[in-house]
Amino acid sequence: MTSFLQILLIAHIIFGLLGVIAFYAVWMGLLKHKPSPRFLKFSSLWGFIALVLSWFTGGYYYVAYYGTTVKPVIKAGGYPWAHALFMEAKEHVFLLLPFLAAVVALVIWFWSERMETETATPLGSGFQIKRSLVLLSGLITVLGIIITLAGVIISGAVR
Amino acid sequence: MQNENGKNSAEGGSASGGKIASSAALSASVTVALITLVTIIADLNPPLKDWLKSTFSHHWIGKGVLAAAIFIVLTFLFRLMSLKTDAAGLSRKLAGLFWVGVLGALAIFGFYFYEAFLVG
Repeated sequence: MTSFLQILLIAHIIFGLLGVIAFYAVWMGLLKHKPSPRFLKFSSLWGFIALVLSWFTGGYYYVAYYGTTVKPVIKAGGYPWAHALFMEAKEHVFLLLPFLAAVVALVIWFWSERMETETATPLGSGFQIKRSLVLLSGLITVLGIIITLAGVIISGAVR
Repeated sequence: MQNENGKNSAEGGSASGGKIASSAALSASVTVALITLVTIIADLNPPLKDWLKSTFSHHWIGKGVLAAAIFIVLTFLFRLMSLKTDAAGLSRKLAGLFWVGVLGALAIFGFYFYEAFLVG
């Protein structure tokens, strides 16, 4: 593997982890009684950017190297299911994340300033929006962790 | 914030921003559902996967490019349509996106589990 591809693979992992950490921060931030709009805007925007960067760096590595060099090794080894299940699911579930992240960031960007005033009533629409954002940021975090663990399994299957 | 109908507006300080957020939530639901369907159908239907490969150089790139294009185009189309942008409407769209995301991820994992372990 060339050093350029090694850098891309490391960047894919680092950006992916930063994206997951950022959306975990959004998730926890939204659960606070008085969420900080500035913190939520910062975390969701950088989380979205990190996931998109992880998408591009990982995508280039996957298309340029994984399919031709790594995939045959895994399929011929003792754990072919590491590709058939975990890599296939990881690469396609990962396609969903930037779109979920973009929506969370957009809604937080245009709505978070009013969170303190509109979430006081549990049955109010503002409360419902906040609850949906909690669920979405939680979903991004959980899927991100599953994808990360799938990456660990795939790496282990090559060795 | 109250709109002209007396409902809570989700638009906040920027009316166009609120409409884009609401449109993006609906557009993302459609995009996530399409990614899931194309992923499964392309694996079961080689001509579709071959078309993605020949058109975009790789099936994964094809799915990503198509998904991004659909998301952007639909967001602006929904933005042009007179969608409800009150807080209750936005809340429903976000809840819908959550469930589409959960079902999409489960469908993809379930499909590849089936392909990996249950098909010869």
